[in-house]
Amino acid sequence: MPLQNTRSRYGHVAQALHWGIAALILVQFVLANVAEAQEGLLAQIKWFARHKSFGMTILALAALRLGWRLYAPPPPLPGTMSGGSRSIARSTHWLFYGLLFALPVSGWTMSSAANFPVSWFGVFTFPDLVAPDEDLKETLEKVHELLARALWITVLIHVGAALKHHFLDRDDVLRRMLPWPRT
Amino acid sequence: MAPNLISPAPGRAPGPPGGSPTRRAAALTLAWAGLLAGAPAQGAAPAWDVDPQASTIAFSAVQAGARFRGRFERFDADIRFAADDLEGSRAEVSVPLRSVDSRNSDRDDEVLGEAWFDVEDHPIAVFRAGTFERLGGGRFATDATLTIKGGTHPLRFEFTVKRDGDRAVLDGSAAIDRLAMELGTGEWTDTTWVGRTIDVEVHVEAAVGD
Repeated sequence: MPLQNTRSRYGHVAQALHWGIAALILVQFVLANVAEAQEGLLAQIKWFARHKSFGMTILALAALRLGWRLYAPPPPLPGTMSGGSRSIARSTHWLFYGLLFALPVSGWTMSSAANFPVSWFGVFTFPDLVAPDEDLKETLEKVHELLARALWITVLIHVGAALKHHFLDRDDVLRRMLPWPRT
Repeated sequence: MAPNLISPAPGRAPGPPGGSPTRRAAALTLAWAGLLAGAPAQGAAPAWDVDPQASTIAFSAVQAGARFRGRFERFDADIRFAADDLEGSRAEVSVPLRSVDSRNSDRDDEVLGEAWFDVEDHPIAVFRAGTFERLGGGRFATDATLTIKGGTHPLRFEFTVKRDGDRAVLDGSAAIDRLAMELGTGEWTDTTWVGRTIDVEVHVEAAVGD
């Protein structure tokens, strides 16, 4: 498998970013739920700090992913797919890009508004995007949760579609994102 | 001129040491008055009329690896300071701890609680300056004390003072060891999540009387 995408498969770079970000998204959902379940401010600080560090990692990877997507075109969708299906697929993918930026940025802004600045695993601190503002923080909390719900739904649609293509349509759509050769 | 307790005025006939009993009583009274005048909160340097709108007591600390800032909205500063009369300079600042504002109500609520300030039992912190030292270059320092949460601890405070006519501007800082002062007990003693040092920055603008 080459570094770059070919006309029939995704290359190393695209695959690494895809599965890496997918794994981090799962980690984020777990961390967010653990953090919300904590009682006491210190426990919340700890778990949200971890959630924020992973979130900013996703933001950086999403930027790389988007850069790569613009630079290296993906393999075209199979001709067996209808125009309508292809539209839905493209929309879902662009929705992902949108959410992968909007979620961390809304979180980062919320942290700034809460005057709990964001550190990347204690190594360095991100600048605050806005001045402290409790009302803004409350609003952004709702926005962030809504976007997370939208991401969750998009993930389910995306995974469902990939499995449908693989097991029902029996085409290469899922296979071309898998790192092992077809058997 | 210091009262003469040792020998009688020249030209007078020798009598009891210090002169007559009345004169001795007067001299002793004057001596004690002089000693008391040097007691704390009395200095001889001009009093500062602190402008509360233009003055701030701010602090910053590191939380989960990231530094955040807050301030105390209210404080009462009793300052007498003159660069040319460090002996006669004094400073005492009272801070009602409920006036803390770190722009986050969850954190402010926690900090007022028992693990931190414990404002129910200790609502006020008091900073008292000690002797003033001249560090040179317009900089001064004092080995002060901070009384907080029922304990009194040493606190070195370094500052600059700029004078412009009858206006004075003081900028100073101190580093507080929160563990030594029991600020953040129990689970909060883990300095991974809240740093050990709380940096305090003070900016005072005042009109200086004579």
